[in-house]
Amino acid sequence: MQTTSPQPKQPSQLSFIAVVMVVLVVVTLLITGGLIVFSNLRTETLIATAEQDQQARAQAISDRLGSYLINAQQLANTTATLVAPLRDDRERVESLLMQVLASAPSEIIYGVGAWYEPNLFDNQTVYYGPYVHQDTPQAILTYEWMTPEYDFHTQAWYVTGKDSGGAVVFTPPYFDTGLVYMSASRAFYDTDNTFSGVITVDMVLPLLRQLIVDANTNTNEVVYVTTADGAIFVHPAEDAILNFARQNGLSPTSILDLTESDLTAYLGASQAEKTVSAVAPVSLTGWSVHLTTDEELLFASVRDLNSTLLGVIGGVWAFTLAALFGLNRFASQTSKSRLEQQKLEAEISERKRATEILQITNEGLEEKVRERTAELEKAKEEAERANVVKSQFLAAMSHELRTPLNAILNFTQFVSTGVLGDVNEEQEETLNKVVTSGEHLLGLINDVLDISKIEAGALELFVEDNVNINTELQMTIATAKSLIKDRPVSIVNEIEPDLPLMTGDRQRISQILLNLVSNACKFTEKGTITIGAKQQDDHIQLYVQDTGMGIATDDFEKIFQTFGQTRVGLKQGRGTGLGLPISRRLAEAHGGNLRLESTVGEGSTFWVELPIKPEHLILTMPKN
Amino acid sequence: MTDDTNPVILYVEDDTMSREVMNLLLTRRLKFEHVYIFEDSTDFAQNLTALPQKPDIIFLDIHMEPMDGFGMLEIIRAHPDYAKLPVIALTASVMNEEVTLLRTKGFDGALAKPVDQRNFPDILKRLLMGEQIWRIT
Repeated sequence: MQTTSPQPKQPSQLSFIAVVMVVLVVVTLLITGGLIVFSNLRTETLIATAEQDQQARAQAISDRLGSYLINAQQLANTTATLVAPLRDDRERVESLLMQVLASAPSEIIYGVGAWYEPNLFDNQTVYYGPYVHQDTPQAILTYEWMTPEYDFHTQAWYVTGKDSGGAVVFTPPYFDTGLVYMSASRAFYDTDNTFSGVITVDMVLPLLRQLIVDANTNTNEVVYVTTADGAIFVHPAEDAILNFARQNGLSPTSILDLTESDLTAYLGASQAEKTVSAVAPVSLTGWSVHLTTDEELLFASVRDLNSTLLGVIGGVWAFTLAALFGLNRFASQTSKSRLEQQKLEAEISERKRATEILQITNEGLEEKVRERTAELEKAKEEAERANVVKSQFLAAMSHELRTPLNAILNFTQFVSTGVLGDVNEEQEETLNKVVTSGEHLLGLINDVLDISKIEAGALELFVEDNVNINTELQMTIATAKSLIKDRPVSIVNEIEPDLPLMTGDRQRISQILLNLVSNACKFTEKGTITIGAKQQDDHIQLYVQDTGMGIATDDFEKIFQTFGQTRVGLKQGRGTGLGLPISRRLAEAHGGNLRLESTVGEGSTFWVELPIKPEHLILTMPKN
Repeated sequence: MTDDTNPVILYVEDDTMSREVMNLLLTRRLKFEHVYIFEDSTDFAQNLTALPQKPDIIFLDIHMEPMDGFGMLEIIRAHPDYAKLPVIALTASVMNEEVTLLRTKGFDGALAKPVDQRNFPDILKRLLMGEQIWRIT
């Protein structure tokens, strides 16, 4: 059996401080590693979401284009159905085509034709046309497309339509008289299923081109469309691309003469940002909608996350370095006073021993850091497979961090409270800063663990019956008083007497209140902080009101996002940006909510509404 | 119990630093004279009965070799002389599921590491009076 004697040898303050310093560095390293792992996991999700969103936007543009093409397709089918039974009744066919054109949207449908096989009904009579097209403001009927110089039934569009069977095919778009056109064509058949001719629907496409140009609303994003052959149908920088091609020896008459490889050459010559593209196919035509977004814009959320995490890591290191500096000063002061009290020899041997202990501890800790780093890397691989695994890993890390923090916080307090010998006021204040920093680290560990559990959907409430909300509120008021210290802020108690007992997670409800109150204390320099509670039907309303700087309406949602502090809050460099998102999710987990009213310059009120007996919560501990 | 201000305390903990923290807290800050600390759970049953005094309260670390905190709790509860002692988990594992397990397995309370030495005296007094306390943050 091992027992420790009740009065151990008094440990040297110096070796304590050395150990505290080293452990502090190790804890900071572990937190840094943990946050980097957290950032990697989160980044992957954010990137996937951004890419999905980009693809969905490309698809939406493609769907709009497609709807016009489907219109043209339907028009061709309808015309074929109506024309086929009319056979050689020329007047009725002409009149029908006029009606079809009149009913079609004139901004995109330019002409409709029913092109018969020339000797379909009679070997002697060549039967052709008719074709109607717009000649603003009227529709014109014409047969002019059958001359000795122009025999339509040898033209490519006719042959393609004839070969298409009953399906509608689209020609590639073509440039003519300053505008871009395209035709849809299909065969139509007589009642005995013999081929009668081809129906054409001619489309004029400036509207579709304008639709894409208009979709280019963001300077960091380009929307353009290519045809099935890879020709560019429309691009917002058409003029520049055409100029570039001409300078390089090409002579395109329109953008349709250029292909994606010309676009690539153009982009390669200009100083383009790094981009990410989504491509969505357009129905019927084989066209593609391209949505090319600057990486910086697309992954802005990733950059925000990383810069915030970098800030947090920087903050943690700043705390640690400040604490190390404080400890170092404390150590040198201690040795100075010892010099006065003790002989030089004793002092040297003491220091030597401290150094040796430090060295041994240091080697052990370095080994531990290597071990832990290897464990972290292994854990990372596992965590990538499932979010739940990530939560478990962070829980384990929290355990590993809490153990050394136990040593840091308590050893420091043994020295600062004079248990190990007298300390002067300055030394005590310095040591208290170490304690405050350590407690901040503890808060950070808890918050990161909480948010990871919430994001993994692994948050569990420890539900008890008969939670006395009044006790929690009184504790919150006591905390507020200690946080305000000597600032001219008064704490106002508006807690109604006789509040009913609640069902819920006592610790978590208390956590919400403490988060709100510590925020109020952080941002209120003078005035009042009011803590209140009242019963409203089957709910309890809790509120924390302050006369601080207030929050702009634009920032209301931001402060509830993970790491989403306001600009002012970030500038103050306090907090983790996790307290409010955690609090809101905890309130929601209870079947309640957390909301906010605020006026800049006047203050903020946070309201928490919790059901007294939430029906969906199952008691973790049965009633005694 | 020797007297109210000088309880007999047993603490089982395999982490050197945590042992030293509790030793300083109990013997130096609170000046208790009957503090016994085991460095691991080897031969726990024999060591427990071999103590010169019967403890008033037992604090157990949970993750330990060769036997964990739950194993030691079973031994305590199985012994007629010790079965009713308050047994408190002192652990750095503070996930809700783990604390729920501690409660259902029959611990009388749980304190989280880091130990808060400012309110520890008050909590100890209440634990000695038989109150269950679950302080897990």
